[in-house]
Amino acid sequence: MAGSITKVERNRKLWGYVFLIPSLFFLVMFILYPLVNSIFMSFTNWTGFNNDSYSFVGAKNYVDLFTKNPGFWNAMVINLVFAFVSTAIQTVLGFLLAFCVYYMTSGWQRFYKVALYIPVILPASVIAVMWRFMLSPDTGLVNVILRTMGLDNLCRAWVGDPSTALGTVIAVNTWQYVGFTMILFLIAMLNIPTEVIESAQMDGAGKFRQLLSFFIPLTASTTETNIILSITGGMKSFALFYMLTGGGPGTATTVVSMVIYNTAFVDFKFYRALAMATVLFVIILVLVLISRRIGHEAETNIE
Amino acid sequence: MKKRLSIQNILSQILLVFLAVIVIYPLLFVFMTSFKSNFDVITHPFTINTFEPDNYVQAWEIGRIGKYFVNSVLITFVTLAIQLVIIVLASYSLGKLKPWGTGFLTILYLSGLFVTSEMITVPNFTTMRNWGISGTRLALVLPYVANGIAMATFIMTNYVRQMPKELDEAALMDGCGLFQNLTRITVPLMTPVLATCLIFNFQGVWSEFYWALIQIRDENLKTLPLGLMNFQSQFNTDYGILCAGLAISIIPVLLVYLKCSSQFIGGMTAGAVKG
Repeated sequence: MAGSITKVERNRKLWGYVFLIPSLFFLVMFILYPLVNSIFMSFTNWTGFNNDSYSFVGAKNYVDLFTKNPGFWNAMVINLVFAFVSTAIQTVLGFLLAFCVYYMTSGWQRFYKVALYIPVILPASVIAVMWRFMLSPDTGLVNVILRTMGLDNLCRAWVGDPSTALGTVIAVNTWQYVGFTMILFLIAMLNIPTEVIESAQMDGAGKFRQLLSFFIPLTASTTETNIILSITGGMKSFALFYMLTGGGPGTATTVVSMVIYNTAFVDFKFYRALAMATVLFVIILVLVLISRRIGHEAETNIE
Repeated sequence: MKKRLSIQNILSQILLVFLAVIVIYPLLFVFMTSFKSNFDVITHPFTINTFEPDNYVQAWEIGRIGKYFVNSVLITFVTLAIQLVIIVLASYSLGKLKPWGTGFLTILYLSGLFVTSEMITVPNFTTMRNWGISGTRLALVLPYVANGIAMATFIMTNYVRQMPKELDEAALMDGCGLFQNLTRITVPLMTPVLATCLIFNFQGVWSEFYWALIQIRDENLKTLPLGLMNFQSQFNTDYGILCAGLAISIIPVLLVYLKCSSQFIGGMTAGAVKG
Protein backbone atom coordinates (compact mmCIF):
# COMPACT_ATOMS: atom_id res chain seq x y z
CA MET A 1 0.00 0.00 0.00
CA ALA A 2 2.79 2.37 0.90
CA GLY A 3 4.82 1.21 -2.05
CA SER A 4 3.46 3.80 -4.45
CA ILE A 5 3.89 6.61 -1.98
CA THR A 6 7.04 8.68 -2.03
CA LYS A 7 9.20 9.04 1.01
CA VAL A 8 8.26 12.71 1.40
CA GLU A 9 4.59 11.86 1.24
CA ARG A 10 5.02 9.14 3.84
CA ASN A 11 6.90 11.52 6.07
CA ARG A 12 4.05 14.04 5.83
CA LYS A 13 1.48 11.45 6.84
CA LEU A 14 3.53 10.33 9.81
CA TRP A 15 3.96 13.92 10.99
CA GLY A 16 0.20 14.20 10.53
CA TYR A 17 -0.27 11.71 13.36
CA VAL A 18 2.21 13.53 15.57
CA PHE A 19 0.31 16.80 15.10
CA LEU A 20 -2.93 15.09 16.11
CA ILE A 21 -1.60 13.75 19.39
CA PRO A 22 -2.34 16.78 21.61
CA SER A 23 -5.90 17.30 20.40
CA LEU A 24 -6.66 13.59 20.45
CA PHE A 25 -5.39 13.40 24.02
CA PHE A 26 -7.89 16.05 25.16
CA LEU A 27 -10.73 14.75 23.03
CA VAL A 28 -10.36 11.13 24.08
CA MET A 29 -9.44 11.73 27.71
CA PHE A 30 -12.12 14.28 28.61
CA ILE A 31 -14.93 13.75 26.10
CA LEU A 32 -15.03 10.34 24.45
CA TYR A 33 -13.73 8.13 27.25
CA PRO A 34 -16.07 9.80 29.80
CA LEU A 35 -19.00 9.33 27.43
CA VAL A 36 -18.38 5.61 27.05
CA ASN A 37 -17.54 5.26 30.72
CA SER A 38 -20.79 7.01 31.73
CA ILE A 39 -22.95 4.67 29.69
CA PHE A 40 -21.01 1.63 30.94
CA MET A 41 -21.16 2.65 34.60
CA SER A 42 -24.89 3.39 34.41
CA PHE A 43 -25.35 -0.41 34.47
CA THR A 44 -23.43 -0.80 37.73
CA ASN A 45 -23.89 0.18 41.37
CA TRP A 46 -20.93 2.56 41.36
CA THR A 47 -21.43 5.29 43.98
CA GLY A 48 -18.34 7.34 43.30
CA PHE A 49 -16.77 6.61 46.68
CA ASN A 50 -16.07 2.92 46.16
CA ASN A 51 -13.78 3.96 43.36
CA ASP A 52 -12.85 0.69 41.72
CA SER A 53 -15.36 -1.61 43.34
CA TYR A 54 -18.63 -1.92 41.55
CA SER A 55 -20.71 -4.74 40.25
CA PHE A 56 -23.11 -5.07 37.38
CA VAL A 57 -26.76 -4.63 38.16
CA GLY A 58 -28.07 -4.87 34.61
CA ALA A 59 -30.83 -2.43 33.77
CA LYS A 60 -31.79 -1.96 37.43
CA ASN A 61 -30.87 1.74 37.50
CA TYR A 62 -33.05 2.37 34.48
CA VAL A 63 -35.95 0.32 35.83
CA ASP A 64 -35.73 2.23 39.11
CA LEU A 65 -35.59 5.50 37.24
CA PHE A 66 -38.72 4.66 35.29
CA THR A 67 -40.67 3.19 38.21
CA LYS A 68 -39.48 4.78 41.44
CA ASN A 69 -38.37 8.27 40.62
CA PRO A 70 -41.31 10.66 40.08
CA GLY A 71 -39.05 13.62 40.93
CA PHE A 72 -36.96 13.02 37.83
CA TRP A 73 -39.98 12.82 35.54
CA ASN A 74 -41.53 15.86 37.15
CA ALA A 75 -38.31 17.71 36.29
CA MET A 76 -38.41 16.26 32.78
CA VAL A 77 -41.92 17.67 32.23
CA ILE A 78 -40.81 21.09 33.47
CA ASN A 79 -37.81 20.89 31.17
CA LEU A 80 -39.94 19.94 28.17
CA VAL A 81 -42.42 22.75 28.87
CA PHE A 82 -39.52 25.18 29.22
CA ALA A 83 -37.82 23.98 26.04
CA PHE A 84 -40.95 23.93 23.88
CA VAL A 85 -42.53 27.19 25.06
CA SER A 86 -39.18 29.02 24.85
CA THR A 87 -38.58 27.62 21.39
CA ALA A 88 -42.03 28.58 20.13
CA ILE A 89 -41.84 32.15 21.43
CA GLN A 90 -38.24 32.63 20.35
CA THR A 91 -38.74 31.27 16.86
CA VAL A 92 -41.87 33.30 16.12
CA LEU A 93 -40.56 36.50 17.70
CA GLY A 94 -37.09 36.08 16.17
CA PHE A 95 -38.61 35.53 12.74
CA LEU A 96 -40.88 38.58 12.98
CA LEU A 97 -38.01 40.75 14.18
CA ALA A 98 -35.80 39.59 11.33
CA PHE A 99 -38.65 40.28 8.90
CA CYS A 100 -38.94 43.83 10.26
CA VAL A 101 -35.19 44.39 10.18
CA TYR A 102 -34.95 43.03 6.63
CA TYR A 103 -36.67 46.12 5.19
CA MET A 104 -34.45 48.54 7.11
CA THR A 105 -31.43 50.34 5.66
CA SER A 106 -28.15 48.53 6.21
CA GLY A 107 -27.19 50.99 8.95
CA TRP A 108 -30.26 50.10 10.99
CA GLN A 109 -29.76 46.42 10.22
CA ARG A 110 -26.31 46.62 11.74
CA PHE A 111 -27.56 48.53 14.75
CA TYR A 112 -30.28 46.01 15.57
CA LYS A 113 -27.96 43.07 14.97
CA VAL A 114 -25.36 44.39 17.38
CA ALA A 115 -27.86 45.69 19.97
CA LEU A 116 -30.17 42.69 20.20
CA TYR A 117 -27.20 40.32 20.35
CA ILE A 118 -25.69 41.92 23.48
CA PRO A 119 -27.43 39.59 26.00
CA VAL A 120 -26.24 36.54 24.06
CA ILE A 121 -22.61 37.29 24.92
CA LEU A 122 -23.29 37.52 28.66
CA PRO A 123 -22.90 34.44 30.89
CA ALA A 124 -26.19 32.94 32.09
CA SER A 125 -25.06 33.47 35.68
CA VAL A 126 -24.67 37.21 35.11
CA ILE A 127 -28.11 37.32 33.47
CA ALA A 128 -29.59 35.38 36.39
CA VAL A 129 -28.16 37.68 39.08
CA MET A 130 -29.18 40.73 37.11
CA TRP A 131 -32.77 39.58 36.65
CA ARG A 132 -33.08 38.44 40.23
CA PHE A 133 -32.43 42.03 41.14
CA MET A 134 -34.87 43.37 38.51
CA LEU A 135 -37.57 40.93 39.57
CA SER A 136 -37.28 41.32 43.32
CA PRO A 137 -40.73 41.94 44.83
CA ASP A 138 -40.24 45.36 46.45
CA THR A 139 -37.43 47.21 44.76
CA GLY A 140 -37.18 45.32 41.45
CA LEU A 141 -37.45 47.33 38.27
CA VAL A 142 -40.32 45.25 36.87
CA ASN A 143 -42.60 45.82 39.85
CA VAL A 144 -41.52 49.46 40.16
CA ILE A 145 -42.52 50.07 36.55
CA LEU A 146 -45.84 48.32 37.08
CA ARG A 147 -46.53 50.46 40.16
CA THR A 148 -45.59 53.64 38.34
CA MET A 149 -48.10 52.73 35.65
CA GLY A 150 -50.75 52.13 38.30
CA LEU A 151 -50.85 48.40 37.68
CA ASP A 152 -50.22 47.47 41.31
CA ASN A 153 -52.39 44.37 41.09
CA LEU A 154 -50.01 42.87 38.50
CA CYS A 155 -47.05 43.05 40.88
CA ARG A 156 -45.73 39.66 41.91
CA ALA A 157 -42.84 38.01 43.63
CA TRP A 158 -42.03 36.79 40.13
CA VAL A 159 -39.54 34.04 40.91
CA GLY A 160 -40.97 33.26 44.33
CA ASP A 161 -44.52 32.61 43.16
CA PRO A 162 -45.09 29.02 41.94
CA SER A 163 -47.57 30.19 39.31
CA THR A 164 -45.16 32.63 37.64
CA ALA A 165 -41.70 31.17 38.34
CA LEU A 166 -41.38 29.00 35.23
CA GLY A 167 -42.92 31.65 33.00
CA THR A 168 -40.44 34.17 34.36
CA VAL A 169 -37.47 31.94 33.56
CA ILE A 170 -38.87 31.46 30.05
CA ALA A 171 -39.18 35.23 29.66
CA VAL A 172 -35.61 35.84 30.83
CA ASN A 173 -34.31 33.08 28.57
CA THR A 174 -36.17 34.61 25.63
CA TRP A 175 -34.81 38.03 26.53
CA GLN A 176 -31.32 36.58 26.31
CA TYR A 177 -31.60 34.59 23.10
CA VAL A 178 -34.13 36.30 20.85
CA GLY A 179 -31.33 38.33 19.24
CA PHE A 180 -29.52 35.15 18.28
CA THR A 181 -32.63 33.68 16.63
CA MET A 182 -33.29 37.00 14.90
CA ILE A 183 -29.78 37.11 13.41
CA LEU A 184 -29.95 33.55 12.07
CA PHE A 185 -33.25 34.39 10.34
CA LEU A 186 -31.93 37.71 9.05
CA ILE A 187 -28.89 36.01 7.49
CA ALA A 188 -31.19 33.50 5.79
CA MET A 189 -33.50 36.26 4.54
CA LEU A 190 -30.61 38.31 3.16
CA ASN A 191 -29.54 35.19 1.26
CA ILE A 192 -32.83 35.07 -0.63
CA PRO A 193 -32.11 36.42 -4.13
CA THR A 194 -33.44 39.98 -4.21
CA GLU A 195 -34.89 39.43 -7.71
CA VAL A 196 -37.41 37.03 -6.20
CA ILE A 197 -38.66 39.63 -3.74
CA GLU A 198 -38.51 42.47 -6.27
CA SER A 199 -40.52 40.65 -8.88
CA ALA A 200 -43.10 39.85 -6.22
CA GLN A 201 -43.27 43.51 -5.32
CA MET A 202 -43.64 44.36 -8.98
CA ASP A 203 -46.61 42.00 -9.16
CA GLY A 204 -48.14 44.01 -6.35
CA ALA A 205 -47.65 41.45 -3.58
CA GLY A 206 -47.92 43.15 -0.18
CA LYS A 207 -45.62 42.52 2.75
CA PHE A 208 -47.94 39.94 4.23
CA ARG A 209 -48.16 38.07 0.93
CA GLN A 210 -44.34 38.17 0.58
CA LEU A 211 -44.05 36.85 4.13
CA LEU A 212 -46.26 33.85 3.40
CA SER A 213 -45.02 32.94 -0.05
CA PHE A 214 -41.31 33.71 0.23
CA PHE A 215 -39.90 34.42 3.63
CA ILE A 216 -41.43 31.54 5.57
CA PRO A 217 -40.78 28.79 2.98
CA LEU A 218 -37.34 30.07 1.94
CA THR A 219 -36.04 30.19 5.50
CA ALA A 220 -37.39 26.76 6.45
CA SER A 221 -33.96 25.23 7.04
CA THR A 222 -33.06 28.10 9.38
CA THR A 223 -36.27 27.53 11.27
CA GLU A 224 -35.18 23.93 11.69
CA THR A 225 -31.71 24.97 12.91
CA ASN A 226 -33.24 27.44 15.34
CA ILE A 227 -35.68 24.91 16.71
CA ILE A 228 -32.97 22.29 17.20
CA LEU A 229 -30.58 24.71 18.90
CA SER A 230 -33.28 26.14 21.11
CA ILE A 231 -34.70 22.78 22.18
CA THR A 232 -31.28 21.30 22.94
CA GLY A 233 -30.30 24.49 24.78
CA GLY A 234 -33.54 24.36 26.75
CA MET A 235 -33.13 20.70 27.70
CA LYS A 236 -29.57 21.32 28.95
CA SER A 237 -30.24 24.60 30.75
CA PHE A 238 -28.70 24.69 34.23
CA ALA A 239 -27.00 27.93 35.32
CA LEU A 240 -30.00 30.15 34.62
CA PHE A 241 -32.33 27.99 36.72
CA TYR A 242 -29.77 27.31 39.42
CA MET A 243 -29.06 30.98 40.01
CA LEU A 244 -32.39 32.61 39.16
CA THR A 245 -34.80 30.35 41.03
CA GLY A 246 -32.63 27.65 42.60
CA GLY A 247 -35.24 25.20 41.34
CA GLY A 248 -37.96 26.64 43.53
CA PRO A 249 -40.37 27.53 44.86
CA GLY A 250 -40.72 23.92 45.91
CA THR A 251 -39.87 22.02 42.76
CA ALA A 252 -41.71 24.39 40.40
CA THR A 253 -38.58 25.08 38.36
CA THR A 254 -36.39 22.07 39.16
CA VAL A 255 -35.00 20.89 35.82
CA VAL A 256 -33.34 17.60 34.93
CA SER A 257 -29.76 18.86 34.97
CA MET A 258 -30.36 20.07 38.51
CA VAL A 259 -31.69 16.68 39.59
CA ILE A 260 -28.64 15.04 38.00
CA TYR A 261 -26.31 17.47 39.73
CA ASN A 262 -27.90 16.85 43.13
CA THR A 263 -27.95 13.07 42.68
CA ALA A 264 -24.31 12.92 41.62
CA PHE A 265 -22.58 15.63 43.62
CA VAL A 266 -24.80 16.18 46.64
CA ASP A 267 -26.06 12.65 47.32
CA PHE A 268 -23.13 10.89 45.60
CA LYS A 269 -25.31 8.30 43.88
CA PHE A 270 -23.28 8.20 40.68
CA TYR A 271 -25.03 5.15 39.26
CA ARG A 272 -28.40 6.85 39.52
CA ALA A 273 -27.13 10.12 38.03
CA LEU A 274 -25.51 8.33 35.09
CA ALA A 275 -28.73 6.56 34.20
CA MET A 276 -30.50 9.92 34.32
CA ALA A 277 -27.86 11.60 32.17
CA THR A 278 -28.10 8.81 29.61
CA VAL A 279 -31.90 9.08 29.47
CA LEU A 280 -31.64 12.86 29.05
CA PHE A 281 -29.05 12.39 26.30
CA VAL A 282 -31.30 9.95 24.45
CA ILE A 283 -34.35 12.21 24.82
CA ILE A 284 -32.42 15.19 23.42
CA LEU A 285 -31.20 13.03 20.54
CA VAL A 286 -34.75 11.87 19.79
CA LEU A 287 -36.04 15.47 19.88
CA VAL A 288 -33.33 16.52 17.44
CA LEU A 289 -34.14 13.64 15.10
CA ILE A 290 -37.87 14.44 15.23
CA SER A 291 -37.19 18.13 14.49
CA ARG A 292 -34.97 17.17 11.56
CA ARG A 293 -37.59 14.80 10.24
CA ILE A 294 -40.36 17.39 10.46
CA GLY A 295 -38.08 20.02 8.98
CA HIS A 296 -37.18 17.70 6.13
CA GLU A 297 -40.79 16.94 5.32
CA ALA A 298 -41.71 20.60 5.47
CA GLU A 299 -38.93 21.41 3.03
CA THR A 300 -39.89 18.69 0.56
CA ASN A 301 -43.52 19.79 0.75
CA ILE A 302 -42.47 23.32 -0.21
CA GLU A 303 -40.56 22.09 -3.23
CA MET B 1 -33.61 46.92 -3.36
CA LYS B 2 -35.27 50.27 -2.74
CA LYS B 3 -36.28 50.75 0.87
CA ARG B 4 -39.32 52.97 0.96
CA LEU B 5 -40.83 54.83 3.87
CA SER B 6 -44.26 53.42 4.49
CA ILE B 7 -46.67 52.93 7.36
CA GLN B 8 -45.44 49.35 7.71
CA ASN B 9 -41.84 50.49 7.94
CA ILE B 10 -42.68 53.02 10.62
CA LEU B 11 -44.64 50.43 12.58
CA SER B 12 -41.85 47.89 12.39
CA GLN B 13 -39.33 50.57 13.35
CA ILE B 14 -41.44 51.34 16.44
CA LEU B 15 -41.66 47.65 17.34
CA LEU B 16 -37.90 47.25 16.95
CA VAL B 17 -37.05 50.33 18.96
CA PHE B 18 -39.37 49.06 21.68
CA LEU B 19 -37.60 45.68 21.75
CA ALA B 20 -34.17 47.25 21.63
CA VAL B 21 -35.19 49.31 24.67
CA ILE B 22 -36.36 46.16 26.49
CA VAL B 23 -33.01 44.53 25.74
CA ILE B 24 -30.73 47.46 26.48
CA TYR B 25 -32.53 49.37 29.21
CA PRO B 26 -31.98 46.74 31.95
CA LEU B 27 -28.24 46.95 31.29
CA LEU B 28 -28.28 50.74 31.51
CA PHE B 29 -30.39 50.48 34.64
CA VAL B 30 -27.81 48.21 36.28
CA PHE B 31 -25.06 50.60 35.25
CA MET B 32 -26.92 53.62 36.66
CA THR B 33 -27.82 51.83 39.89
CA SER B 34 -24.20 50.85 40.37
CA PHE B 35 -23.36 54.47 41.24
CA LYS B 36 -26.26 55.01 43.65
CA SER B 37 -26.67 54.74 47.39
CA ASN B 38 -29.14 52.19 48.68
CA PHE B 39 -31.52 54.88 49.89
CA ASP B 40 -31.52 56.52 46.48
CA VAL B 41 -32.24 53.18 44.77
CA ILE B 42 -35.36 52.73 46.88
CA THR B 43 -36.65 56.30 46.82
CA HIS B 44 -35.78 57.29 43.23
CA PRO B 45 -35.48 54.14 41.14
CA PHE B 46 -35.33 55.89 37.75
CA THR B 47 -33.05 58.83 38.42
CA ILE B 48 -29.63 59.23 39.94
CA ASN B 49 -29.22 61.72 42.78
CA THR B 50 -26.20 60.32 44.54
CA PHE B 51 -22.81 59.40 43.22
CA GLU B 52 -21.01 56.60 45.01
CA PRO B 53 -18.13 55.17 43.01
CA ASP B 54 -17.16 53.51 46.29
CA ASN B 55 -19.67 50.78 45.34
CA TYR B 56 -17.09 49.54 42.85
CA VAL B 57 -14.34 49.43 45.47
CA GLN B 58 -16.65 47.49 47.78
CA ALA B 59 -17.65 45.02 45.06
CA TRP B 60 -14.08 44.57 43.88
CA GLU B 61 -12.52 44.05 47.31
CA ILE B 62 -15.07 43.01 49.91
CA GLY B 63 -17.29 41.30 47.36
CA ARG B 64 -14.15 39.68 45.87
CA ILE B 65 -15.33 40.36 42.34
CA GLY B 66 -11.78 41.44 41.56
CA LYS B 67 -10.44 38.07 42.61
CA TYR B 68 -13.10 36.18 40.62
CA PHE B 69 -12.48 38.37 37.62
CA VAL B 70 -8.73 37.77 37.63
CA ASN B 71 -9.32 34.03 38.05
CA SER B 72 -11.66 33.99 35.07
CA VAL B 73 -9.20 35.92 32.93
CA LEU B 74 -6.41 33.53 33.88
CA ILE B 75 -8.41 30.36 33.24
CA THR B 76 -9.77 31.69 29.96
CA PHE B 77 -6.40 32.88 28.73
CA VAL B 78 -4.59 29.60 29.45
CA THR B 79 -7.43 27.55 27.94
CA LEU B 80 -7.50 29.57 24.73
CA ALA B 81 -3.70 29.54 24.42
CA ILE B 82 -3.60 25.74 24.60
CA GLN B 83 -6.56 25.47 22.23
CA LEU B 84 -4.88 27.80 19.76
CA VAL B 85 -1.85 25.53 19.43
CA ILE B 86 -3.62 22.20 19.31
CA ILE B 87 -6.37 23.35 16.94
CA VAL B 88 -3.79 24.73 14.50
CA LEU B 89 -1.86 21.45 14.59
CA ALA B 90 -4.98 19.29 14.27
CA SER B 91 -6.53 21.21 11.39
CA TYR B 92 -3.21 21.41 9.52
CA SER B 93 -2.86 17.68 9.91
CA LEU B 94 -6.42 16.75 8.89
CA GLY B 95 -6.68 19.46 6.24
CA LYS B 96 -3.30 19.17 4.51
CA LEU B 97 -1.10 16.32 5.75
CA LYS B 98 -4.03 13.87 5.66
CA PRO B 99 -2.61 10.87 7.51
CA TRP B 100 -4.15 7.46 6.78
CA GLY B 101 -7.59 7.28 8.37
CA THR B 102 -8.36 11.00 8.05
CA GLY B 103 -12.02 10.27 7.30
CA PHE B 104 -12.42 8.21 10.44
CA LEU B 105 -10.52 10.74 12.55
CA THR B 106 -12.72 13.58 11.29
CA ILE B 107 -15.81 11.66 12.38
CA LEU B 108 -14.19 11.04 15.77
CA TYR B 109 -13.71 14.79 16.26
CA LEU B 110 -17.24 15.46 15.03
CA SER B 111 -18.75 13.02 17.51
CA GLY B 112 -17.50 15.32 20.26
CA LEU B 113 -20.14 17.84 19.19
CA PHE B 114 -23.06 15.75 20.38
CA VAL B 115 -21.88 15.04 23.90
CA THR B 116 -23.81 16.80 26.67
CA SER B 117 -21.94 18.03 29.73
CA GLU B 118 -24.04 15.85 32.09
CA MET B 119 -22.74 12.80 30.24
CA ILE B 120 -19.08 13.52 30.96
CA THR B 121 -18.91 15.30 34.32
CA VAL B 122 -19.00 12.20 36.52
CA PRO B 123 -16.08 10.33 34.87
CA ASN B 124 -14.14 13.60 34.58
CA PHE B 125 -14.74 14.17 38.27
CA THR B 126 -13.17 10.80 39.10
CA THR B 127 -10.31 11.39 36.65
CA MET B 128 -9.44 14.62 38.46
CA ARG B 129 -9.62 12.83 41.79
CA ASN B 130 -7.40 9.98 40.58
CA TRP B 131 -4.86 12.45 39.26
CA GLY B 132 -4.95 14.32 42.56
CA ILE B 133 -5.90 17.65 40.99
CA SER B 134 -9.51 18.00 42.18
CA GLY B 135 -10.44 21.56 42.98
CA THR B 136 -7.40 23.09 41.27
CA ARG B 137 -7.26 25.46 38.32
CA LEU B 138 -5.81 22.67 36.22
CA ALA B 139 -8.96 20.63 36.84
CA LEU B 140 -10.93 23.41 35.17
CA VAL B 141 -8.57 24.06 32.29
CA LEU B 142 -8.15 20.49 31.02
CA PRO B 143 -11.84 19.76 30.31
CA TYR B 144 -12.37 23.34 29.10
CA VAL B 145 -9.68 22.82 26.47
CA ALA B 146 -11.35 19.58 25.43
CA ASN B 147 -14.82 21.17 25.17
CA GLY B 148 -13.76 23.63 22.51
CA ILE B 149 -11.86 21.24 20.27
CA ALA B 150 -14.56 19.44 18.30
CA MET B 151 -16.29 22.43 16.74
CA ALA B 152 -13.15 24.49 16.10
CA THR B 153 -11.23 21.59 14.55
CA PHE B 154 -14.18 20.81 12.32
CA ILE B 155 -14.49 24.39 11.04
CA MET B 156 -10.74 24.94 10.74
CA THR B 157 -10.10 21.63 8.97
CA ASN B 158 -12.67 22.51 6.32
CA TYR B 159 -11.05 25.90 5.94
CA VAL B 160 -7.50 24.57 5.65
CA ARG B 161 -8.59 21.94 3.13
CA GLN B 162 -10.01 24.63 0.86
CA MET B 163 -6.83 26.72 0.79
CA PRO B 164 -5.48 27.09 -2.75
CA LYS B 165 -3.26 24.11 -3.69
CA GLU B 166 -1.05 26.31 -5.90
CA LEU B 167 0.40 27.98 -2.82
CA ASP B 168 1.52 24.66 -1.36
CA GLU B 169 3.03 23.58 -4.66
CA ALA B 170 4.90 26.84 -5.12
CA ALA B 171 6.16 26.62 -1.55
CA LEU B 172 7.32 23.05 -2.13
CA MET B 173 9.27 24.20 -5.21
CA ASP B 174 11.01 26.79 -3.07
CA GLY B 175 12.09 24.02 -0.71
CA CYS B 176 9.49 24.77 1.96
CA GLY B 177 9.11 21.73 4.22
CA LEU B 178 5.97 20.85 6.11
CA PHE B 179 6.97 22.98 9.09
CA GLN B 180 7.63 26.08 7.01
CA ASN B 181 4.38 25.49 5.17
CA LEU B 182 2.63 25.50 8.56
CA THR B 183 4.25 28.65 9.93
CA ARG B 184 4.60 30.72 6.75
CA ILE B 185 1.53 29.77 4.71
CA THR B 186 -1.14 27.94 6.66
CA VAL B 187 -1.14 29.89 9.93
CA PRO B 188 -1.15 33.38 8.35
CA LEU B 189 -3.99 32.36 6.05
CA MET B 190 -6.08 30.79 8.82
CA THR B 191 -5.79 33.68 11.29
CA PRO B 192 -9.15 35.43 10.68
CA VAL B 193 -11.22 32.23 10.87
CA LEU B 194 -9.20 31.00 13.82
CA ALA B 195 -9.90 34.27 15.64
CA THR B 196 -13.63 33.73 15.12
CA CYS B 197 -13.39 30.17 16.43
CA LEU B 198 -11.45 31.29 19.49
CA ILE B 199 -13.95 34.05 20.25
CA PHE B 200 -16.67 31.41 20.09
CA ASN B 201 -14.68 29.26 22.53
CA PHE B 202 -13.99 32.29 24.70
CA GLN B 203 -17.70 32.65 25.32
CA GLY B 204 -17.97 29.02 26.34
CA VAL B 205 -15.09 29.18 28.81
CA TRP B 206 -15.95 32.61 30.19
CA SER B 207 -19.56 31.59 30.91
CA GLU B 208 -18.95 28.03 32.09
CA PHE B 209 -20.75 27.32 35.34
CA TYR B 210 -21.66 23.64 35.77
CA TRP B 211 -18.17 22.13 35.89
CA ALA B 212 -16.77 25.02 37.95
CA LEU B 213 -19.57 24.50 40.48
CA ILE B 214 -18.61 20.83 40.79
CA GLN B 215 -14.86 21.35 41.01
CA ILE B 216 -14.09 24.56 42.82
CA ARG B 217 -14.68 24.90 46.58
CA ASP B 218 -11.79 27.26 47.34
CA GLU B 219 -12.97 30.88 47.49
CA ASN B 220 -9.64 32.04 46.06
CA LEU B 221 -9.99 29.97 42.90
CA LYS B 222 -13.60 30.70 41.97
CA THR B 223 -14.34 32.04 38.51
CA LEU B 224 -16.69 34.94 37.89
CA PRO B 225 -19.87 32.97 37.11
CA LEU B 226 -19.38 30.86 40.22
CA GLY B 227 -18.26 33.72 42.43
CA LEU B 228 -21.32 35.77 41.50
CA MET B 229 -23.40 33.27 43.44
CA ASN B 230 -21.71 34.14 46.75
CA PHE B 231 -21.60 37.76 45.77
CA GLN B 232 -25.33 37.82 45.28
CA SER B 233 -26.12 36.29 48.66
CA GLN B 234 -23.64 38.65 50.31
CA PHE B 235 -25.04 41.85 48.79
CA ASN B 236 -28.61 40.77 48.18
CA THR B 237 -30.00 44.03 49.52
CA ASP B 238 -27.02 46.32 48.87
CA TYR B 239 -28.31 47.19 45.45
CA GLY B 240 -25.61 49.67 44.53
CA ILE B 241 -22.79 47.25 45.28
CA LEU B 242 -24.66 44.35 43.67
CA CYS B 243 -25.00 46.37 40.46
CA ALA B 244 -21.37 47.52 40.62
CA GLY B 245 -20.33 43.84 40.71
CA LEU B 246 -22.62 43.10 37.76
CA ALA B 247 -21.23 46.08 35.85
CA ILE B 248 -17.67 44.81 36.40
CA SER B 249 -18.77 41.41 35.07
CA ILE B 250 -20.52 42.89 32.05
CA ILE B 251 -18.54 45.92 30.85
CA PRO B 252 -15.15 44.43 29.82
CA VAL B 253 -16.79 41.74 27.69
CA LEU B 254 -19.25 44.27 26.32
CA LEU B 255 -16.42 46.56 25.21
CA VAL B 256 -14.58 43.72 23.48
CA TYR B 257 -17.86 42.73 21.85
CA LEU B 258 -18.61 46.25 20.58
CA LYS B 259 -15.08 46.43 19.16
CA CYS B 260 -15.34 43.18 17.20
CA SER B 261 -19.04 42.33 17.13
CA SER B 262 -18.86 40.71 13.71
CA GLN B 263 -16.43 38.03 14.96
CA PHE B 264 -18.71 37.32 17.92
CA ILE B 265 -21.81 37.05 15.76
CA GLY B 266 -19.94 35.23 12.99
CA GLY B 267 -18.59 32.59 15.36
CA MET B 268 -21.94 31.81 16.92
CA THR B 269 -23.82 31.70 13.65
CA ALA B 270 -21.13 29.67 11.86
CA GLY B 271 -21.26 27.21 14.72
CA ALA B 272 -25.03 27.11 14.55
CA VAL B 273 -25.14 26.44 10.85
CA LYS B 274 -22.49 23.74 10.94
CA GLY B 275 -23.78 22.16 14.14
